[in-house]
Amino acid sequence: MSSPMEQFEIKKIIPIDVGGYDIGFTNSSLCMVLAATLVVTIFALCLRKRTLVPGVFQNIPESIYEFIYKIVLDNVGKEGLKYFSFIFTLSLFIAAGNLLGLFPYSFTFTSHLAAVGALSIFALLFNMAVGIKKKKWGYLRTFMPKGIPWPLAPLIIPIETISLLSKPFSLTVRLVANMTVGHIMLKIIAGFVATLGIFGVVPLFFDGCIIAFEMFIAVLQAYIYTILSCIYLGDALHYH
Amino acid sequence: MEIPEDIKALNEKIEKIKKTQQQNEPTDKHSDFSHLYVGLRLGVELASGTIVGAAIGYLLDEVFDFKYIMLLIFTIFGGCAGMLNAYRYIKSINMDEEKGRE
Repeated sequence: MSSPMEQFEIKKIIPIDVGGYDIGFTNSSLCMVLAATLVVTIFALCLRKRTLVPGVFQNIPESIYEFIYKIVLDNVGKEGLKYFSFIFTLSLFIAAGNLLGLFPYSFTFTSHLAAVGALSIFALLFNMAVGIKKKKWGYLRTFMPKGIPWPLAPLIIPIETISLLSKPFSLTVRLVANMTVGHIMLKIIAGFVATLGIFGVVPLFFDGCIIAFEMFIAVLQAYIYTILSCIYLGDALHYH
Repeated sequence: MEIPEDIKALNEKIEKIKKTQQQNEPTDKHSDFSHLYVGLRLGVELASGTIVGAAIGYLLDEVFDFKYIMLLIFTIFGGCAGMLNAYRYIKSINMDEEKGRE
């Protein structure tokens, strides 16, 4: 039986080397492209025939759109609607990545620190850019909140800086840990199906239940990621 | 564009259902599951602050050769940042609860 960790191995599909840097197209890259293509295709197909009263297929993207629109409105306010497209893209990409990873022979790119970490760092830089654009030099107040005496600055500034930098880290760890643990559990229980012979139906039943649960977790984690990104964006716009 | 009568009637129906749903919503939204989520989130906040602080300290030691002094200092700063994040999260929950009561 293969190791439960084998499913997370990055395999090169097209090796590309530029100036000594390995930028090869891997199974992770392929799944990212697939996730993005899948979302665009589903949306394009469902919104092909648009009517005032939505049909069943038109209802799917409209409900998702309204759901994320409400999250942005509740957590960032009307000011945040300018950045709605960014949050919408981010959450759909993560949700599609999580769900795509549940298919056999697929790869869960959201179980890799590098992939999710890059997204989170990008979100952090985006939030910082938005904050700086809105408050100009006043954004530096994030690192030294009002009302704190200046002699405490050498203590407060590093603490506030680490507090800001730990946000993308906690976002990443939460998503990666959930995805990794779920997939390892699936693989271990699936291993029992083959080794237990006729009694393998019991772990098979459990595996089925876990897959259903994992689908729920995949969507829930994308939702949590979206809501937290919105809260951090709201902090950049309104805090202090 | 003028909205047809049947669409107006549908809209009224939806608003009516929304109102009844809001009235029937439970006042205590905090189930055991949400308590578990709060606990997990606090754990992640505390740990991530410490880890990021330690990582910054380690990097500073590597670059400027401070002999692990920065690792020590920034781990403590990281712990403080983690506690600060956890405190802010708890504060935001309390504020949400107060808003809900109002």
